[in-house]
Amino acid sequence: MKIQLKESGKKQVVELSGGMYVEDAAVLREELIKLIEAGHRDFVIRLDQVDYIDSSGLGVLVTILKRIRELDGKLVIGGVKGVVKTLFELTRLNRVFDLED
Amino acid sequence: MYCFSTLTQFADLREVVRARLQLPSEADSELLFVAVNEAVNNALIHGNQEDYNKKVHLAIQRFPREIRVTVRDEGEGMPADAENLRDNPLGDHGRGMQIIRSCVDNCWFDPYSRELIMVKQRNELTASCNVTAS
Repeated sequence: MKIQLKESGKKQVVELSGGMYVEDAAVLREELIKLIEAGHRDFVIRLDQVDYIDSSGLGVLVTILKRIRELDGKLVIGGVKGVVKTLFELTRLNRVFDLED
Repeated sequence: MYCFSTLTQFADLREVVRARLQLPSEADSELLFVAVNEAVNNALIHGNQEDYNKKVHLAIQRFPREIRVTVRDEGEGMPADAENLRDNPLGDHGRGMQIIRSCVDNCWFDPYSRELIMVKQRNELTASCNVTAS
C-alpha cells in the first residue's frame, strides 16, 4: 500500500493505493495519528486506488474516526468501490462514515 | 496444505492461495479470498497470539459443488465474538469474524481441533452462516 499526503487548504487529503492488508494497517495508523497530533482535524481519505482492505485496515479507519470525532474534527472517506465498498457494506461501516464519490 | 508462522510468510503466499480459490463467479471468488485472509489473520494474531514458534495450517479442498477451506492454529485463543458489532459498527472487536460470516455460505469453529472450516458453494447460492462450537 502507498500513502500520499496532500494539503487542500486546512484539509488533509490522504490518498491510498494498492491493497491494505494487516501489515499495512499499523503504518497507516501511525501516519494518521501523527497528523492528528500535529493539530490537523479535517481529513479526506481517498480510497479510489485501493483494491483491497481487510478488517485491520477498517479497524484503523474506525479508530481514526473515533479519535477525530472526540476532537470535533471531520473525516470523509472518498472513492470507495468494488470489494472495498462491499466490505464497508457488510460491516455496516457505510452507515457511520461520511462517504463521498 | 500450506503452513506458515508469520504474517510476512502468509503475505508471500496470498496470491497463490487466491488462485486456488477460483469459483464460477468472480465476485464469489473474491469473497472467499476475503474470508480466508481474515481467518488466517485471526489464527496468527488471536489464535497463536503472534507466537511465531506456532504454525497456522491452511487446507483448500475443491469439490464439485463447493470449496472447503480449513484454517487450523496451534494456540489457545478463540475467535473474537462479532455480536457487539451488530448494533455498533464502531466496535473494536470481532470485525474479522463478522466479515467471514458474511462472505461464505457456511462456517464453524471446532475448539477441539482448533479448526475454522469455511464453505463456499460453486454456484450462485447466497446464504448466511452461523459460527458454532462443535
